[in-house]
Amino acid sequence: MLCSAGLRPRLGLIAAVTDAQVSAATAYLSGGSWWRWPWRVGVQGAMRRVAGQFRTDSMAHAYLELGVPFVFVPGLDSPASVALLRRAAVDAGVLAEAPILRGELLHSLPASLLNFHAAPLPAYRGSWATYWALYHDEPLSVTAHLVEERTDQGPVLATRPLPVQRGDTLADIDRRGFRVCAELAVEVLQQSRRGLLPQPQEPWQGRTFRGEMPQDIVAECQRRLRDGEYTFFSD
Amino acid sequence: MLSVVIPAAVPRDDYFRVWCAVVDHLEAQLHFDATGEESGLCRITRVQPPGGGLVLPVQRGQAKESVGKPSRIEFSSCSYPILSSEAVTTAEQVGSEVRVSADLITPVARLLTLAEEQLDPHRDRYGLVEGHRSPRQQAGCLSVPWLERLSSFVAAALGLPIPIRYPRGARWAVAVSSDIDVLETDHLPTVLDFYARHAVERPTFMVCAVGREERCARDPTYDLDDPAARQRLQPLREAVVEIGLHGSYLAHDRFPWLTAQKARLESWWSSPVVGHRAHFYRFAYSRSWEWQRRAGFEYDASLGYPDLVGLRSGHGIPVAFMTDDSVSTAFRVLPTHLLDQHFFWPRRWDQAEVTAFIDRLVTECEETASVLCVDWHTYTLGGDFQWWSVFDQLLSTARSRGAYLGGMWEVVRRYPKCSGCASAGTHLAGGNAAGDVSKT
Repeated sequence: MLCSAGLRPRLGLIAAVTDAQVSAATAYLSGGSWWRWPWRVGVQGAMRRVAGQFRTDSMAHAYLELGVPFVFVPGLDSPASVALLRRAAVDAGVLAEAPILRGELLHSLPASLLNFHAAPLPAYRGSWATYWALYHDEPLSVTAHLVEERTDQGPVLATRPLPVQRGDTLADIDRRGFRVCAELAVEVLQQSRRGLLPQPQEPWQGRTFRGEMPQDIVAECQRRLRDGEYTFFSD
Repeated sequence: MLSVVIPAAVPRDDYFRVWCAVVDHLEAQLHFDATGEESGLCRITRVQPPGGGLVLPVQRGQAKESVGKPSRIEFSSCSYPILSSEAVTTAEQVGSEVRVSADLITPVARLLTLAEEQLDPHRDRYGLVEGHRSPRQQAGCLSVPWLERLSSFVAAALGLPIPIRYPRGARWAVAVSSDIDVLETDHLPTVLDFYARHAVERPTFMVCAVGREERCARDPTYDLDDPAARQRLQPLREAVVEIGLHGSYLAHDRFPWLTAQKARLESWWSSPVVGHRAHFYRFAYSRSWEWQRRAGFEYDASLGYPDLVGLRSGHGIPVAFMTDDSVSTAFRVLPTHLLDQHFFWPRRWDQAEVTAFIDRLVTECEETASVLCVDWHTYTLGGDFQWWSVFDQLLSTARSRGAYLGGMWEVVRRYPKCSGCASAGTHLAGGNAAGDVSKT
């Protein structure tokens, strides 16, 4: 999501993940003249044709509800995305459940590209990091950082505790993690005007977890929560 | 003075770590032959006195996958237990060289780099690596110091002595330490008397120095700023002991907390603190060591199993910490082999088990000139615990078998620092820590 000065969301980019969405994106882009359309009219007009395909829990539905222009792109690192980013007059880009970004895309945004990682950095990078921190009996937090080539290793901007309460399930923690990430995003974007002091990370300062967490370990995390063995309950 | 000449072509990898550790243990001058590397062979030659060589195949770059097989090499009428790439390993004297049929380096490299636990993500409820999960436990060799076994064979193959580095000609050592987790009674004088009876030189006491903002539910409850705690710790100030930092539950991964706790402890102790062991043995490989090194510690003793006696990294001797870029540092890793709780939790060993185990452990250390680092919590002395009878037996047995009994720094400082291994092609030199007393 790209934000303008004043922190109003200007444009959302959604990587198309279904054939229907790819078709819509292709049809939308094939004319070649869509760049000159006013964003709001062009985007919303085009997307009404595929509105019925949006689940109510989808990003597209959320953007529609909030009145934020959005575009489906074949992929976040596609030439269409890169072109959009280069032309966008925005202050910051915010990633939300995005895949690992590489290459030209990372350097296409004149402003900062931010990620909000639901685990302590630099120690717990990569996938399932929230659960890995829980499994290692660490207090949880979310981290705002600048995006760079190495996964979750960009300079850290801010952190916020992610409370775990007695009786929480892993799903509860996930939901709270999203909320705290959003709160941190607002805080960081508001502070960006006054300047934040990024804290660089070094590769050796953390571990990058890759792939899926083994199911027996997920189950063990759930059990430790249920049986009260986690050390850092907030209540 | 020891040195290793490494040609520029030799990459600084896990293999290199093993070799630096062996060189430190033997305090030897050895030469690597680069041409052997290209053909999958490594040739190591004794420099001083010149002559003698050892040739063995090396599976470079496969440390994580190369699970070693306990094996034995028959050489010069002796049998050497070794961790090898093959179940059957032979050694043959050909002229001035000893040629070995299997890779002895890579399996040890795998242990030094904690590959076992990097590949197995399972941890206990405190985030700790458990010994019962190790394949070595299943093979019945979790307490074998495989690095020292390798050194012993290399020494034999190259005609090198294993140096005598401890006072009164002792070849091996027990590094004696006590974590202070509980400070609710005045038990320290009794502990000091115990160590005095066993003539332990400068035993190490690990003291917690957690600040209010750093404390969590798992940390010791005493506070260095509390006059009552200081009074209970006063006997340590009046004795000849080493004080080390018992880093708080979360400090292993929080550099500002680590430095603050070190400063707090030094302020109370009025002297530098060089040793560290994390409370609960919490540890994150390898960054915890890097944090500790940057905080100014000389060694760490946090590498231990919560559930079993054993050597997590396959060595008992102090080994120089190498960064991820294979730069050797002066910071040493001293694994803790044995804790009091191992004999009493989850079940209490009977006397026959204790005696047999101590005998095996001491024999292993004596044969390999290893170090047995032990941690016996101070609060377990007396009362209902009666745990110290086992410690008494262990120290008595070790001394009767020629061990030096000293605190952790007294042991660590007698090992050379493997310094200057930063650039390829340079002559690497190591030396003893500054201020070392004579070893004899």
